[in-house]
Amino acid sequence: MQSYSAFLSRLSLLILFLFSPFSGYEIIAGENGENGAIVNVDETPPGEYELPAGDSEVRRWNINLSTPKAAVSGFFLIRDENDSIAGSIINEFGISLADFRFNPVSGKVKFINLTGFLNKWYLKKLLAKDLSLALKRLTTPSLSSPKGYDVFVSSDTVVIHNLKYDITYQFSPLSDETDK
Amino acid sequence: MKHIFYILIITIFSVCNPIIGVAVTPVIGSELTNTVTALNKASAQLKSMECEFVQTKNLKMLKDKMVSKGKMYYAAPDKLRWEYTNPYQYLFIFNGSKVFIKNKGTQNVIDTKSNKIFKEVARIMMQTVTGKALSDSNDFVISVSKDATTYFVSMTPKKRDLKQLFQSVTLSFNRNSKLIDCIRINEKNGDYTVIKLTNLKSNRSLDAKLFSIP
Repeated sequence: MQSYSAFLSRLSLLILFLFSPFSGYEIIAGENGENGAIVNVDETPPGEYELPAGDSEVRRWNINLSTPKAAVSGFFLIRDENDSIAGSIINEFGISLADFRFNPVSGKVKFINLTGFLNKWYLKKLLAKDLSLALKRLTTPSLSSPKGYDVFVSSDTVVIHNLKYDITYQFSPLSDETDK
Repeated sequence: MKHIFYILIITIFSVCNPIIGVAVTPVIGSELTNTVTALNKASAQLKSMECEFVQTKNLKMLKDKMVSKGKMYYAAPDKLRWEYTNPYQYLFIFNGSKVFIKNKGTQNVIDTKSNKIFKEVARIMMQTVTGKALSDSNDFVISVSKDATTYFVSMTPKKRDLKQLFQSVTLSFNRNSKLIDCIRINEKNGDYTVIKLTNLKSNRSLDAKLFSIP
């Protein structure tokens, strides 16, 4: 198993390089956080989440992923299928990070496609575990936090914090912001 | 061998590229030289550009599309403003050596001097949306085809870093104006993104505030 620091560096490097928007960056100026960490503040008023017009199947969330060294954003999209949930993670420019399938019975995430730098066994293992927890919370918010995680659930936002690797995932529904 | 290559190009464009018409023919020989020269000349004369765009992300895994809209502004040689307005608000400004990203309540400034990869990708992004990438043979393998109204320039990345991001990019140039009006990005996982540029205005004076970075 890679050391913690090497693992975190690689994960941060991957996120930096690929996910915002085409490449990565280090935070040199930002708001709303300690030590330059970017915390996305979801200003969407609490209320029932409505699916985008014309789409009754795919559910869409904004996703913000942050580590001590980097913060990135994009979209987390899932579709319920017969016995599984299909999902994709993309950024605002439409670039794909991952395609996956989630088995609600086993609770396991299987990656179908994963962008190159993420395709390391220890990263896949970490992300699969974190995304599995995220999917469970997005579909069943009332579940308790497992060991090693802090989970915060508001009316429409889910925040998952991996305590060991200090990685935070924040999910909020994607709503049409045209009129705001 | 050359004939097989061009037949393959025709087949690929005809079968896999939804943004082109039926009668697409390769551009080769002297016509290729003249076409590239004309497109390069048009892009070199492009000092500014503004347009609206509609971006359609086709997701193979979900059998779904995600449509977003926005506006783009470009000022030669190194200023680009790419702004999403619907269904999300996201702003990307590239100005010289700085990049500004604003996403809802958060914003970041990135110095590309300390991040060569980011600088490179930002440069390619700007060249792609303005059509200037056609003259950049260092980054891409380029082939050209046409139909009645459009030149299609297919660019396949050479560098490993870019190959990780996408499989190929196809730029559509209006044959009359020689300006780009559509971009298609093909990804390795089968997804593709089509960006259509509309209400395009070129070489007009643009407010410098559009590219200002806090």
